[in-house]
Amino acid sequence: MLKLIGTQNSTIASMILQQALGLGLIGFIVGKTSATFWAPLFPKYVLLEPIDAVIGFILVMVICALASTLAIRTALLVDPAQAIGG
Amino acid sequence: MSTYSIQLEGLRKTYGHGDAAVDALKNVNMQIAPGEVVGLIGPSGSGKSTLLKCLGAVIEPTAGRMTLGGEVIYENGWKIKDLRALRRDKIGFIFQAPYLIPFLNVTDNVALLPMLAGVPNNIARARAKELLEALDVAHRANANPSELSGGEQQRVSIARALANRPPVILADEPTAPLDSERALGVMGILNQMASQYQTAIIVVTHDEKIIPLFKRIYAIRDGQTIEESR
Repeated sequence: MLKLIGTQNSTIASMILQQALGLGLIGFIVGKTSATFWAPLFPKYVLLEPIDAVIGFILVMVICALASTLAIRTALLVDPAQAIGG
Repeated sequence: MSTYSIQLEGLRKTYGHGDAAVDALKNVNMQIAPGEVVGLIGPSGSGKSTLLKCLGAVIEPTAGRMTLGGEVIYENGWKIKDLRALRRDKIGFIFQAPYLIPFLNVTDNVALLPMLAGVPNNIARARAKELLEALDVAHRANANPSELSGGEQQRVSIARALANRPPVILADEPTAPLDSERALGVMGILNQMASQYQTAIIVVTHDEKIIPLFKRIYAIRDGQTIEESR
């Protein structure tokens, strides 16, 4: 539908990328918070330095950006005519 | 320059080549004035969707002449290079399902099109607000689409179709999912908006509830249009 109403490919790609990065950010925050609070419940600790969290965050963002390219490619291949009629 | 918002002369669309060629549209002629709401009816496979796709500049006709908003856009080939911009600026689309963007609120759903056309955000939002007021959904301006009723969602999709003030709106079965009362309400709104913004609207429909409401109907059979004036 977005393609039919005249949205640029770059805008569609940017919307999908933003969503993927947003989901990645939410996932990271939930994961990091859970790990911080639940770690003492486990018998063995893995020591994580602040820099590990930064590296983890960058990795999550890169993975989400790479994964979004699949969705972007699929979205850009959609024929706008599909939105009309049967 | 044509005084019609939509003018089709001898429009033809053929799929395939040689022996396998199928004429989906044979000789379609149509004139629709600014502010006019016209019905387009016909059985399945008659060519309605093909005609709508040609008018929506998403498939290329094979021959004929097509004028939208006073500008020739097809005559032995596209006369406009940027069809995406043509669709964005000159054609509004209303579908059977509202297809609102779920993560944008109502105002931003309507303002999105002018923003994509380069209209500054504050002006686009002001235009959206004006349309939402005209369509009596301004009180839902900050709601998400999922919080709206079916009728409200369809009114927002009408506002979105009008947001770039296009000379032409193509409505594909806009009342199909609605009950009689809401379907008549949507038709009333389309008539009012067409008159207010001088937009020509083609409504493709099978909906018998709304067919008597059109002043002019084009019936399409076997790829040819027959005007049934009322």
